[in-house]
Amino acid sequence: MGSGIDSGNNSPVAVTGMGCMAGGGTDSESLWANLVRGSVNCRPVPGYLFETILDYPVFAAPADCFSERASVLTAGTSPGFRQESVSRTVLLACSAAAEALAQAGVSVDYLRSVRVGIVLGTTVGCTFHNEEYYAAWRNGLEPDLDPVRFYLAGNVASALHRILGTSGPSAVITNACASGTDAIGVARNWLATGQCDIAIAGGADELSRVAYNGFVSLMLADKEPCRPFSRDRKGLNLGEGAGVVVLEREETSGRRQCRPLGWVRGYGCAADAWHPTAPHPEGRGLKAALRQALRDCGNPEEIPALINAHGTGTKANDLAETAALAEIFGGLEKPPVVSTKGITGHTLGAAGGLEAIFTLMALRAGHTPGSVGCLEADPELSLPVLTQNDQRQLTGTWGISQSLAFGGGNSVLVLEAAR
Amino acid sequence: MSLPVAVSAIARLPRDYQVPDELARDLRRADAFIQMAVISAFTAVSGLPSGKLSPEEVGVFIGTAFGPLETNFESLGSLIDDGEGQISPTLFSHSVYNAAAGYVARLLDIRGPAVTITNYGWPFLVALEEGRLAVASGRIGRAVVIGVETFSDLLADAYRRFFGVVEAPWQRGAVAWVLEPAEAAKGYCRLAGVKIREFDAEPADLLTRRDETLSGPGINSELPRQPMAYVEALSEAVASFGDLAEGEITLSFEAPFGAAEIGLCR
Repeated sequence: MGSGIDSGNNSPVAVTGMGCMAGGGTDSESLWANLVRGSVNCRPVPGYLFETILDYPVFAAPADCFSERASVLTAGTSPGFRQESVSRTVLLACSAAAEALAQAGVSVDYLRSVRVGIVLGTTVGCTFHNEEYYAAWRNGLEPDLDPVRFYLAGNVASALHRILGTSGPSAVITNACASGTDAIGVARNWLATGQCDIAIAGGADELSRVAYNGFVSLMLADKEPCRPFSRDRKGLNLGEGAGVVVLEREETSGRRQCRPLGWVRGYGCAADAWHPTAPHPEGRGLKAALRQALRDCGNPEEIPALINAHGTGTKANDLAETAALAEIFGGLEKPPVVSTKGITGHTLGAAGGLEAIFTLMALRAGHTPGSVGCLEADPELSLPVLTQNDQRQLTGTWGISQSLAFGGGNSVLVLEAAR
Repeated sequence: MSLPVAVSAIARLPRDYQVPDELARDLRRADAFIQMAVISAFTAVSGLPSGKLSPEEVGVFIGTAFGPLETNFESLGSLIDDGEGQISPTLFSHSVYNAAAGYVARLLDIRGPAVTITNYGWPFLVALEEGRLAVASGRIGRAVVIGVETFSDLLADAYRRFFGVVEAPWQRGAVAWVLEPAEAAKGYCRLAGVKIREFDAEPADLLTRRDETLSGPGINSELPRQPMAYVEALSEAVASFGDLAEGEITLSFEAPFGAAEIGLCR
């Protein structure tokens, strides 16, 4: 392989398809193009999502977030499918999955002949947030039960199985902002241990009024477009979207004569055991997750070609994250560190999926854009980061995508690109 | 690497649980979902030898159908009553589904993987299999697997109306299992694996859990129609494993929304 990393004791797991839907672009290519251009689509909350008097901007996906590809796919798999029957989170996931499956060249017939594992991360997508129903019920009324049926039918992994007509294990990971990263790690483990033959994994999350207000209350949101790692950063912007990959054991994709886009080489997940919302100031859990992920891929000697950080733009996250990275990669040679949230906002459960895809796209392209929104890096960061104008040629083929979460969760993927 | 994995402890939280004195200060602001998860985990590990495991070699895996739903509703209520930007930060942070895993990790000093899984069918079984895989792979030396559900007035009302009954038999509950490599564990039995198949079902069945059964050697019972019944029945069966047949046995759940098999052996 020549990259110095391997899959350790695990069967190599290939990435054969990638798909996105987000405020910054409606598929992986348009998102990547906007990232390279630094084209930011951060705007007031559109009325088609919810009404608000607050003026914190967001990265909203289009009103119609169900892509043409998804329409074509579901017309084949589930002819009676109605978009109104599922949540916006499920529609986002369908759009990203449709793109990923198309890229992987996986037919519906094939999907239905194998065990499909579906693992998706979400936060908002698993909650009941129908304000009208709740208000009526609280006032002693007996509102029509359809919103409860809608909620119970809304488990995003089960819903995708139902829509695709596939069978196999499914799980929704609700590890807050690390959910998407963990979902890909769990799917990798399922494939490596033979729990399924092919996996659809990543994350999806819609914007909700409760989450929007919650982040404002926590004083973590910025009224301007976010500036991860920047000296003048003031917080995050919420976003919505989905990032989904198709994973297969390498021998399986080989039998389909499908050339991998890359590989999931390592996965680590570790708790801070520190605070309900704030990260450990030295990134204790992140360091453990990084060590675990690196051990998982044979402890490569060389540094990663790229680190796609969580980089939310909050004071505490960016300091803790770079403190951990500085300790793990504290040698003379420093890996390039970027945040891509300047182009997507913080998409919560979807973030890990979207960012794993950005990481692989950058590694495949051999270059990375800088951190959109960061014009001058905070001098207090423990490690240099790439600012917006600092595009970089990448010298290696493997990199890291990492997520930190409320509750002290930390998750890390080691990804390698096929070129 | 695939190590045999054993169930080394099971703790079932009483419905009228009390917060232990040693946890009272840390749990004073926690909601019931967090409290129940923490106390069940605390009880499960308290009888085990501390051994030589580092905090990073222990993981927590939580399976829940409805998560901290009452706290979610409180957040929703606050938004409606108090207006925008007024939700209590504590309330909002506790409404996030992995808040309980964070508390368990912090109060039990668990620094390995912390994973919360949400699924309306058998979330505890999904979490159990994740915990088993983590121990079997050698990534960790102990997995604390928790099934937890709180009572929800709103869902209990929906249950009554879906089913046309006067009272929903909904009860809150929490159960924690500890999984360890079989060679290191003294406990109930080995856990060979969990397999789950989901069926397309009427959404209300996921709430009312009609016709949910558990079967196995000497067991053939329809379960009480409430969200923790399957966890409690499985825990009871495993705790009485000594009365079951020699060798490998399979316990099976069936319901309109799926089927699951749990392989156990001495």
